[in-house]
Amino acid sequence: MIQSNKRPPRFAEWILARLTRSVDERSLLGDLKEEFEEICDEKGFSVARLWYWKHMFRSALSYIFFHLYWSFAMITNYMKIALRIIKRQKGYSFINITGLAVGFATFLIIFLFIQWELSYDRYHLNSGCIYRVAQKYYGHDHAGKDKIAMTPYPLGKTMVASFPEVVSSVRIVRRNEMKISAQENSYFENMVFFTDPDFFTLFTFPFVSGKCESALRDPNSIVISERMKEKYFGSHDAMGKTIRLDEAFDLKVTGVMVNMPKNGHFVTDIVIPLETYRLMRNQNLDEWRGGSGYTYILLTKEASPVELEKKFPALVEKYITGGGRHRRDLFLQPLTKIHLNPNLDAELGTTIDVRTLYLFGTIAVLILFIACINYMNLSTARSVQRMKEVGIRKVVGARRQQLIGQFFSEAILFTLIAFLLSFLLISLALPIFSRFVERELSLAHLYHFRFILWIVALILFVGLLAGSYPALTLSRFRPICILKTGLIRVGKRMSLRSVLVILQFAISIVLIVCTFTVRDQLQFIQHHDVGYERDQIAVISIKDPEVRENFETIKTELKRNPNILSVSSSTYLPNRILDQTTFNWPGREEDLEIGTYFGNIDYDYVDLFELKIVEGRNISRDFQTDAGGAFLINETAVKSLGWDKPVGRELIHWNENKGRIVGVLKDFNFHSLHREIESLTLYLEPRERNYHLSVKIRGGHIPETIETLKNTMTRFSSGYPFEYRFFDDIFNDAYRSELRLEQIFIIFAFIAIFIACLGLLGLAAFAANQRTKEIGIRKVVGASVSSIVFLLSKEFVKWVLIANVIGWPVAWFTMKIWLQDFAYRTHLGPGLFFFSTLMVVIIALCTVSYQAIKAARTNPVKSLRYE
Amino acid sequence: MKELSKAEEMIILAIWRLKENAYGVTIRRQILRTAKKDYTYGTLYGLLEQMVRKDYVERVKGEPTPERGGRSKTFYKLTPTGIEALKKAMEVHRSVWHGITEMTFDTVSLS
Repeated sequence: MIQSNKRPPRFAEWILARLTRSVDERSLLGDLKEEFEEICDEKGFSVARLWYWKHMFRSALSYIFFHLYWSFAMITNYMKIALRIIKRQKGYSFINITGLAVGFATFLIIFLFIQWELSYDRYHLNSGCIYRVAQKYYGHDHAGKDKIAMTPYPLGKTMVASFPEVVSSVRIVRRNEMKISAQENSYFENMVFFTDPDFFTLFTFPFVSGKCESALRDPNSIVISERMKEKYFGSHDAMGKTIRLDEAFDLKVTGVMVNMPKNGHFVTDIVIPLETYRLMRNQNLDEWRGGSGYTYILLTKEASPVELEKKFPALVEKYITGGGRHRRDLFLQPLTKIHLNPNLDAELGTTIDVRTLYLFGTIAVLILFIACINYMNLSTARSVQRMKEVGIRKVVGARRQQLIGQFFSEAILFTLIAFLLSFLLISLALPIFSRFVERELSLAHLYHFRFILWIVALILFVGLLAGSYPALTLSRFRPICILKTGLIRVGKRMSLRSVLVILQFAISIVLIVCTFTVRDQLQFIQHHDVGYERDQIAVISIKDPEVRENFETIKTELKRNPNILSVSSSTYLPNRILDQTTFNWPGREEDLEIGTYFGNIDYDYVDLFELKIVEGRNISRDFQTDAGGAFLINETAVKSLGWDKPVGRELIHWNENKGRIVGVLKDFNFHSLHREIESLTLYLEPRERNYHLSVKIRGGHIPETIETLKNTMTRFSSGYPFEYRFFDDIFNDAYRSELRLEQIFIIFAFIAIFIACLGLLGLAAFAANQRTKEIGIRKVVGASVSSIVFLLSKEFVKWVLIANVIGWPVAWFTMKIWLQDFAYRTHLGPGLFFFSTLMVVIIALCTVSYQAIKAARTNPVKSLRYE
Repeated sequence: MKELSKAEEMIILAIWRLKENAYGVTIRRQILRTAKKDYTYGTLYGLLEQMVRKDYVERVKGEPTPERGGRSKTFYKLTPTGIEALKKAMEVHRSVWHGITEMTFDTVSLS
C-alpha cells in the first residue's frame, strides 16, 4: 500500500522540520504522514495535500507562539536595556556608533565602486560568448605596451569562414573629431563608430525606434542615441531625417537607440555602417597590413576560447606575417574582462587595473575591521560597569546562553543603528567619491534584492563579530565574585584589548606611510628635472588643415604681441612623443634595425621648451641647408647607433627625406617617469603632422594674451572652436592615477586614524575611570598633574609604538612594489617612517591626554569620598 | 499540585482511554471525536511537551514503520503523577457539578 508518488508536499515538510524541536520532529512528521495517506486513500491526493498545508500553517503558528513568545519577551527586555544604556552613556554610545557608521559607510561606498567596476559589459545577452581579438607584438612596444587592441580589417570574416565555432564577427572603426550636422546644428563629435550591420545583433543595445537587425544594412544610414537625438533634433522625431557627415555625406537616421549604459568598455552615441567609411576614405577593407579596427567575435556556447586560440598561429602565419621577421600573436579577450585590463594600447574606453580593485577591497575590509575592533574594545572596557547587571541576571537564573544572546542582540542593535546612520553618510559622501573615481555611482544599486540580502548578512556578521568578544567574556564571570567585590580583575583581559588597539594602529600606520610615500613620489615627479620647461606655455591642438597651411603667417602675427615670447609647432609635446620608426642611413646593412621614437618639430621648438644641446647646434633658419632636412637626436640614440661623431652624418627619414644630424640633444624624459629614456629623433618639418601649437607667454599677462590668441586663431580657422590647455596641466595628466591614489590614501588613512582614535578615546576614558581612586591617592600623597598624565598616557603610547614596528615592514614592502612601476623614483628613506610615527604618536597622545588631564585634575576629595 | 487545564485534562483522558495505542494520530482523533476539538499537531505537541515537563505523561519510543515513511511513533503513557492529577480533577468536577443536571438549567431558564 505504499505509494511512493503520493507523498506530502516536500516544502511543507521541510518547514515543519525546521520549526520543530529534534525530539518531536520525527514522530510529528510521521503522524502527519500517516493521516495524510489515509485522507489520500479516502478523498484523493489533492484534498490530502490541501489538508497537509492547512495543518502545516496552523502548526507553524502555534509553534511560533509556543517557542518564540518567551524568547521574544526576553529580546524586548534586552533591547530596552540596550536603549537605556545608549541614553545613559551618551559619550560611549556616540563613539561606538560613529565608529561603526563610518566603517560601514566606507565599506559600502567601496563595495558599490567595486561592484560597478565588475559590472562592465555584462548587460549584453551574449556577453559570455563575445570575445575581442587583440594582438601581441614581440620585441616591439609602443610607449611600454606590446599588446594592441586593434586588428586587421579582414580578420573577423576570415575567422568566421575558417573556424566553425566562430558564429559571427563585427568590426568597429572609431573616429574622433567628425563634423556632424543636422538641421541648423553642427558639432564635432568624438567616438563615432563605423561598424558592420551585425553590430546590433551581436551586442545588445535596445532601440527606441527603428529595427536593430536592419538599421545598418543600407550604407547611407546612421543610428544615434537618444542623447544625440535630443542634441540635434530636440523634441522632434529623428527617424528618416538627414544627418550630414564631414560636410560631404548625407545619412538617413534609421534608428534611435537607448543611451548606452555607462558601464560598457565603449560608449558611443553615433553608429554608422562601415561601408560608409570605406567610401569616405577610399579604404581597402580587405587589406591585412596595418589594422585600425577592433574585431569582436561571437562563439558558440560550447566553444572553448583556449582551444580556439591554439588555431591562431597558423592563421597569423598565413595572412599576416607570411614569413616576415616580426613575430606576433593573436589572442582573445572575454568581453567582460576588457575593462579590467589596462595593458593594451589603443584601448576604446577607460580601463582599471584589477590590483586597484584589490587594494580598494583590502582597505574597505580593514576599515570595517578597525570599526569592529572599536566596538569590541569599548564594550569590554565598559563591561565593568555592567558587572552588577550580569551578576544579578545570573543570580536570578539567566543561563550563560541567554547572556550571550543578550550581548549579541545588543551588538546587532548597535550595528543596525550605525548602519542606518551610515546611509546618511553615504548619501553625503557618494557624490564626492563618484566624481573622484570618475564614475557614476548611485545608492540605487544597493536597492536590489540580492544586495539587501547581502546587507542583512553584513549587519549580522558585523554584529556578531563585534559582539563576540564581549558576549563570550562577560557571560563567563562568576556572579559571586562580581557581587561580592563589585569589581573584577582586569589584568588579563588587558592583553587582548591591547592587541586589538595595536592592530588598529598598525593598519593606520600602513595607510599613513603609503600616503606619504605616494606624496613623496609625486613631489619627486614635480621637481625631477625632466629636461624641458613646462611653465606658462599654452598649447593649442590644431585640427584644421587650413591652419597648418598658414602656420608661418600665424606665427609671425602672434610674435608681434610683446607678451608672447615664442611660438612653435610640432607633432608632439616633449612629455609624450609617440611615433616610432627605425633608423635608416645610406649604407645601412639590410637587417640592422635600431628603433627610435621620433617627432616633427619646427625651428623654435628647442628654444621654447629649453632643451639642451650637448653637441653640434640647434636647427636654425640661418643655415639654408636645414630647410632641406635636419635631424636632432638624443644621447641615448647616439649610444644605440654607436657613432663616434654623429653630427654631420646623413639620415634618411621614411625612405625619402634625407637630411643631416645637426646636433645632439641632452636626454630628456619624453615619456612619463614610469619609463627609462629611449632613443629619440626630432626632424625639422614645420607643417606636416604638426598637431600642437605651443605658445610661451610672459608671466603675469596670461588672461589678456589668451584673449589675443583666441582672436588670432578664430580668424584663421572659423569652423573650429578655440581650445587651449596649459602644458603643465597636460604634463600632470600622465600622473593622474598617482594623484588620485594619493588622495584616496589621504582619505582612507584619515578615516582609519579617526576610527582608531575614537577607540583610543574610549579606552583612555575607561582607564582613567578605573583608576580614579589610585589617582586620588597619588594626588593626596603629592603626585603632580604632569606625572599622573604621564602615568595614564604611558601605556597607550607604548601600544602605538609597537603598532609602528608592525606597520613599518608591511608599508615598506607594499610601497617598494608600488615604486617599481617608476623608472625614476624617490628614495624610501627612514625619515618618512619616523615622521609618520611621530604624527601618529602625537595624534594618539592628544587623544589620550585629554582624558588623562581631566582625570589628573579632578579633586582627590571627590574621587576618594565614596567607598 | 497545580490543577489541570481543560486541554490537559482532555489529553490525559484521551491517553488513558487509548491505553497502549496512544500516539499523535490517535490522540488527536480521540479528542476530535469526544470533544469535537480539531487540534493541530503543532498545538498538540506543544501541549504534550509541557505535560512531559510537568511529569504527567512520559514518552515511549516505538518502532519505525514503513507506512510512516520510516519515522518512528512516539507513544505516550500516563505517569502516577498524571493519574493522581486526573483523579483530583475528577473529584473537583464531581464536587463542583454536584446536584446539577440538565433539568436544573431548564427550570432556571423558565423562571
